Amino acid sequence: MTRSLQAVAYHRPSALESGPLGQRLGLETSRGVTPAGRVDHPRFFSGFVTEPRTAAAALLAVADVAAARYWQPQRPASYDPVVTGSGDRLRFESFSGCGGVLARLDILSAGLDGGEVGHGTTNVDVNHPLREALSRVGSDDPLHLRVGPDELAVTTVDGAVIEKKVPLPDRWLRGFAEAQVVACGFELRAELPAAEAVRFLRGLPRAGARGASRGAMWVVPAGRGLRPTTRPVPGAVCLPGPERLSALQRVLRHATALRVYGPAATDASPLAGAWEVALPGMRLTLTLSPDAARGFSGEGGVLDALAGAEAAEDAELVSVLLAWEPRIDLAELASSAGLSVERVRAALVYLGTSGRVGYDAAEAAYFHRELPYDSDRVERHNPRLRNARALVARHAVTLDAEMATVRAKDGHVHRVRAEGGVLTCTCPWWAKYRGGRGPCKHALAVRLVRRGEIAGASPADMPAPVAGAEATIEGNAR
Amino acid sequence: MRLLTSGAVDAARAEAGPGVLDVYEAVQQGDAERAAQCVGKLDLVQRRVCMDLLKKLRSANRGVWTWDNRERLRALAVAGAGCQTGAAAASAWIAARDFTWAPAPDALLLDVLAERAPEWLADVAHRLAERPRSADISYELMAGLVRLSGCAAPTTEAYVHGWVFSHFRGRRMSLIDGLRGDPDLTELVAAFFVTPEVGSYAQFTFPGEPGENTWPEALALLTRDGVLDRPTMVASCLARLLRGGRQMDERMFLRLLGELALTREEQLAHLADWTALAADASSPIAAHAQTVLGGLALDGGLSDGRLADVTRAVLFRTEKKLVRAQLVLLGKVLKSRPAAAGELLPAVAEAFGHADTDVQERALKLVGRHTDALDRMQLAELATAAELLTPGLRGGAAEMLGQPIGEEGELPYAYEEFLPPATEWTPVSPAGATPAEVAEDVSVLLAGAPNDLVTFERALDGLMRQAARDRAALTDALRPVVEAQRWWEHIGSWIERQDSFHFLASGIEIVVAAVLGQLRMEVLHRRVQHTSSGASATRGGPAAVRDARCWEAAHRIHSDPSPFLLATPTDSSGALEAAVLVERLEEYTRLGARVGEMDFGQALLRVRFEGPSGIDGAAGAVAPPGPEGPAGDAQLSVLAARADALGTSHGTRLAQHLRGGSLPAPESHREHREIYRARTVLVDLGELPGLQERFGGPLARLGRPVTPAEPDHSPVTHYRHLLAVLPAQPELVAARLLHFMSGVACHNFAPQQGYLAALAEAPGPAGQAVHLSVAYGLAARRPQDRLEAVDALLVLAARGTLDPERLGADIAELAELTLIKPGRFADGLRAGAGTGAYATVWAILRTTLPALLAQESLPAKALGDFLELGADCAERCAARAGIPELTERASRAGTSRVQNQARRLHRALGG
Repeated sequence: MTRSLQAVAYHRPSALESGPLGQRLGLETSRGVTPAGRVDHPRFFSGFVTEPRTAAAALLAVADVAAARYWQPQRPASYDPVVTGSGDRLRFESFSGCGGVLARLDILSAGLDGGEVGHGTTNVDVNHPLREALSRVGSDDPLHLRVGPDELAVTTVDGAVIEKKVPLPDRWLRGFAEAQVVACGFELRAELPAAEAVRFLRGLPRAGARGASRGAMWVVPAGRGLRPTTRPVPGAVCLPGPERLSALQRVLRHATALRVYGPAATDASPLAGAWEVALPGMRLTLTLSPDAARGFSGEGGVLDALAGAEAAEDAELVSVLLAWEPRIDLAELASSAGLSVERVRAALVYLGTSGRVGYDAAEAAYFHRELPYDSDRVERHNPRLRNARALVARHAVTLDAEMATVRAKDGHVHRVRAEGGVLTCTCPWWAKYRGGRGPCKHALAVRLVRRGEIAGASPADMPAPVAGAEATIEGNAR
Repeated sequence: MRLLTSGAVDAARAEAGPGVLDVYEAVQQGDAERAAQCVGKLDLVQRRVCMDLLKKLRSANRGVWTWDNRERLRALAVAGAGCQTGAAAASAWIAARDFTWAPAPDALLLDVLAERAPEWLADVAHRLAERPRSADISYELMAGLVRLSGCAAPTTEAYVHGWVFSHFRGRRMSLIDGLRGDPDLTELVAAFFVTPEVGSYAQFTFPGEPGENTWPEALALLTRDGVLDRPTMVASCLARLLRGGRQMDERMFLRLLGELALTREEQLAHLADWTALAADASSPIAAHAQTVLGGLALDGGLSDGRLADVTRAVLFRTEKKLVRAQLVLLGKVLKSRPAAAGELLPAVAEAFGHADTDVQERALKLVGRHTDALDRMQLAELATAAELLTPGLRGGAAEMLGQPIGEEGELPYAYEEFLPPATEWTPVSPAGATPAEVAEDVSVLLAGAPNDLVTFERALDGLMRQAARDRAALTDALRPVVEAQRWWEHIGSWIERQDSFHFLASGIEIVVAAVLGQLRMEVLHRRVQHTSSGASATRGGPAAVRDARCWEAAHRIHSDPSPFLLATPTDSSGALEAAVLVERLEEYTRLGARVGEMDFGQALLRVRFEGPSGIDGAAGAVAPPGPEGPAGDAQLSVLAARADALGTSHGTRLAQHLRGGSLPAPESHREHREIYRARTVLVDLGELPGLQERFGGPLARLGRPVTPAEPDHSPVTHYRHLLAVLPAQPELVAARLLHFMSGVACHNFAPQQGYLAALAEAPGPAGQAVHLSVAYGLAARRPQDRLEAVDALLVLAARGTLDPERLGADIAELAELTLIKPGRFADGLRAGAGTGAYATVWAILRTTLPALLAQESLPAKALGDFLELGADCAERCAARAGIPELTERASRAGTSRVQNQARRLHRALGG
């Protein structure tokens, strides 16, 4: 597995200190991206949180996910959460070591008191003493929160004193970015009041000693609550690997509601979903991959977008126009970019895969944030896309009206058929997932060839695709 | 015997000087000591040359493990470690996986490294300590390097674990003395608190006197002696518990906390920790924190505000033990200080929402004792919280608080039953129009979907149609699909050898092999004769019908392909609309095609006679009566006339079948039988008369009486295919597979996913075997497996085919069996009730409870569970009933859970 090593540096460890004026929580930042470009130790907030106990528990839940592996949990993961200042809210995000759970805590303006929220994205330090201190926050004494270095400290301390080296597997990075893209197909499926939410979340199976179970379960809204079932009956929402919601137990006492977002269940294959606990002034959302055993990286929902050259160009234009909006207005962005809303949406999907926008299912909108990792590399190196390009480069694809033949290296032949804009294939991989995990490499290769990307030549050099069958395919694929 | 050499090794040897060759020889002779001495004689340049040779030797022997070479590998490890010049390379060499099987002796490694500079040694020590524990680096080696270099001890996970364990292994010195003499004690103890999984050593007794020979005792003793700093120890221990972790780990630190015996001042100094632990820690730790806080509360060390905070947090927990203890504690506090009621009682109201009604009742009683001290505002607040109480307690609460509970409009309490919507069968889409589409369906089946009925039927029909049209094109399309499966090349011999299908194969393999010409005609002929005669020794029942159909199709494709298949179902239940079948037969006659006997027989069995309205009650109104819709009596006679008009023998048979109406359900009776060496209840099926008369071969055999003792190898993994053979008679499949469901309940077999729900959904009446299957499913081991049965139960209820009395009696009967845990029934039924089906569950319990109350052998816990569930259901759906057994039980004295719940249920039922 390819991976890179990332070093994050902090002025000093994040800490919670008790003083005469209450408790002061200082979250230290590392190098991040802000409207002013790359900045070391940016500062996003300094002010009070209105619900100290809830905020502390929710931050711990985010830290729990960052340190968790829900699949084959031999060694704990050690990723620091990512914080985004969006002008009116703070978002803390973390991604589990197994690449299957994305946690996001949105502290909304109602949850913050005093102090401006800055713009930008960076890592925040989480350490053992901080966790202990956060779990001690019990009383409702005022809690002062600072994200970024203390003004006084900046002048006295120079140079980083805390450095953490974290291995970043490509799969993890790709999953972190791609979870956003998966989420953009979600809709609200169920909403539970507090008492029902507590009953439901407590009734979920616990993780065994060997981590999450394999199974997915489905739940159907019944009355005020959710009824568990074993099959995707109409109206059901999938809950894949229910043990992975354990991080929500921390905030259960403070929950005011539970909301479930997900795509509509089509067949028996498990689906991703987002589980949001509403808290006073805050929202804590866990986005789960369709299977505890596999992360978001293999979902392949964006491969079609990546395979095209147009989306990449649009994305470049759109990315310049983004300014850490808490919610991106598609129509507005489209008019300022001079593109159609459809193309802007495709461009945002593209940006999502490189970690430059996130998706908030509760607001049904993208938001701007730039993951503080080198994720461009990852998006280019999507294995399935790379394999497809290799097939094209080997001239393995032969087109024949609506059928195409792809000859694999070992001599096996796969037939790719176009029907209604969807490419289907006869390979065992496609037979196993039947489109549930995006196109297979053969279908991608055929799409590349049909779009005119021929081996050895860059797309820009190629003539536009001829009208006819190909054009219909493209049109429908959007 | 020597280590393997390669060309590269020989080349390096040719360039090496005599000193280097000495090392090489020592290694090849497996003499690690001499190798170490020889390395010691080399200078820096020679060592580089030697290293080059040894590296090549190592790679030549990678992955080659023989017992004889173990000593040689040890010598290689020692020599290589001595020749390395860089610290990183040396530590990588020592930790290399090649040597884990033959690790070098620590003493020799230390000897060979001893002459290096202290900084270098320290670097190697720390690098080795950084390795994960699974690398299994010897602690003695790391500690020796630390000692030689004089550096500070590393505090990594691997090192700390090695350090802890080193006091156990082969030590003469007692644990306490070993720790006292350790120069790095303070740092290592500090690291001890942040190292995962050190708790596993808590259970061991180490060398030394009793009372100081375990880690918690030894650490406490050292703290008492002042060797370790007491405030740091207390704080670290609490911090570790706050962070949480595995229970095994926590036990160590909980014991240490006990050994440290905190003073009242120390307890007071850590109030925030105790509060957090009581709220969020695991059960044993929370119980300890609760005891500490309780002690402080009773002697006045805790403010009322903080006690109220703690109470809210503890009462929110699920553990009844903790919750009850907290209520007892509050009772004591309020008795001594009644004035605190105003602050504490609102916190007690947290327990009104607790899942356990016993807890609710206790909390309510506690509030009731102190209502005098409350003002009107506080009473109103409590009344709001009391809305969470179970309906049976609300009346008492209203009286106690002098306020109505809940809003005026809400009373009287209206109950509404929630049941899942009726199943909607999806129509089977027509077979692929091109060979490529058929090939895709086949690809899906070959990739492993043995239970996918719709794809199977579509593929089977598609193969037949395409073979009739253009077999060469079909062969072309199928070839890449089968070649992508590695096992396909053996398919011919595999099919010829096997009498039955592999349980993971859907059967389409045979037909595909026939299309591709991989099966010899005589094999096909023999198989068709064998399977359609009904004489197959190993398979009977519905599985044999499916097998015979596949063989017939394969044979027809080879000899005389029919234009399409008659038996392809029209919807995903496996049912076939009569009108469609008549049209198909008309088309056959028009084309002059020959009818396949198995195909025709299967088609007849699939004909749907009654629409969903006959069975499904409410659901029938939803189904639109269209041309494809279920046929009524009038329509059936029209269709029969059309079939008759065909003038063929098959037309006549179809007409007779349509006029004859649906097959009667077989007689069934329950038997106690021994199966899998346990006494179980199974169902015997009587004869199905219609089948024996009208059909031959496996179809007739399907109608014979069945006793479960007779094996017929119906694979439960293929339940959709089995059910689709006779879609209106799920009883036939349920009785045959009942032994499997009894295994689920008695022997913890993993249930087949979706099987029970499919039985319940099948468009036919649910008989004894279906009900018994559901009852067995409710006793499955894992709660998520019981959900399968809950789903089935709710589907039966929603369709109106559930017989609650029968299921209730089944449960009571099964609860008596030795190998079944009766508590699981209660848990499964509770899951069903929790979805909003309280009335359905009560209807079942109404029959079960009297029988259970009469059972002597039933454990009290299980009986308590059943009674509690019954009371919950009865309260929710306002059931009224007189159960003499219950009245008798409720009148007994006692305060056990069974008695309490029996009285509660008795009250709820209006007694």
